[in-house]
Amino acid sequence: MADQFKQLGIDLWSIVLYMANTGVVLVILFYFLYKPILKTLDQRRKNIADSIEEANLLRNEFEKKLKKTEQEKEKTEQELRQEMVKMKKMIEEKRTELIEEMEIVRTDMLHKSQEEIDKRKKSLIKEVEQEITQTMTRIILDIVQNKVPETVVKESITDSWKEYKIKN
Amino acid sequence: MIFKNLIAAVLYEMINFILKHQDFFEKPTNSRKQIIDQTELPHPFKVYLEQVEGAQFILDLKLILSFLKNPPKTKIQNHPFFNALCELFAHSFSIRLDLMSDYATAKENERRAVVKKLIAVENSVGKALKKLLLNNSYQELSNAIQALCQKTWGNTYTLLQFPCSINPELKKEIRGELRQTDSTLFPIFQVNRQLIGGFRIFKGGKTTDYSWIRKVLKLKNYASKGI
Repeated sequence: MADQFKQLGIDLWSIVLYMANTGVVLVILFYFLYKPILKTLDQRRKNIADSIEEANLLRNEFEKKLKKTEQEKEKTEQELRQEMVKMKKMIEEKRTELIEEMEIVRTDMLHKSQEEIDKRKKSLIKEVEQEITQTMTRIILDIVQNKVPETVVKESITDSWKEYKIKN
Repeated sequence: MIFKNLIAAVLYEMINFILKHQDFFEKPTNSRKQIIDQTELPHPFKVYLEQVEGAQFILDLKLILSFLKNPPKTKIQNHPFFNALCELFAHSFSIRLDLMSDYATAKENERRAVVKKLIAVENSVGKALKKLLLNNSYQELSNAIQALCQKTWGNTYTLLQFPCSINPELKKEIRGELRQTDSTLFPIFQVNRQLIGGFRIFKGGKTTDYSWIRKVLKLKNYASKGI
């Protein structure tokens, strides 16, 4: 058999050497390549799994938080809606109050304006009366100072003197 | 003092008379009157001479000279001589003064002629009186006479205002009427055109207003009150 293999060119010791070599290579590869790589791969798998788990945890937490936030948001919205209702009610009340106050002020202002108008009217009438009186006086003075004859003036002196004698 | 010349003239005439009748003060009052009537002194001074005694006359002369020197500081209240002087001014002279007021703006010749007619006496007293009328305005003389009467009689200041000049007869009547109530009064007449008509009298701080301006203002007052 050995010679057959030799005729074929197959050396048993070469085969054994090749096989031992291969085995050494395999062992070397196993210990220096496959194991670290497998270790690395495991580590990576583990890391990935951890990351996935962490991500899941985060996702769960986020979902919880989101839910919580949504609940809070809803709560806040409800509170806001209630506040809005309250505000609207208050505004309405204030509006009514303001309208009433304005009405009072308007009435008061109208009343005061009317008083002011009456006062001004009286003052104008008085001014006009004074002006008329002054004009009348000027006209009378002009007439008696410039238009009355001297004889009439002298007669007035005599009459006044007679009046004085009677009274004194 | 615008009356110095007149007082000096009166003294001159009196002294001349006394010198001519040296026993004058020894005579009784009745006889004195007959002698004095022969002089041309104004009547009030004749009355003074009738009543004054010799010694008193000398004292009076002293006082009169003191007055001529320093009028403001000499007291002449109710002195017989100055009573006579004021009586002359308040009575007969005032009539002539009122007559002259109509000739205030006349020419010099005309004024002299009027004064000559008003004062016929030609002695020094007459000349002094004529000078007074010619050289002083109506207002100046009136104020000076009033001041003298105030000093002598302590009389009441009396001012009458008229809207125009009034005739001397009316002035004489007014003077006479006012002096009936108080013989020491010397009314001063003034023109105030603002009175328009009637007259106004200021007497002893009291005003009596019969003027037309007062009536117009009263009417204006009633009109402004709406009465």
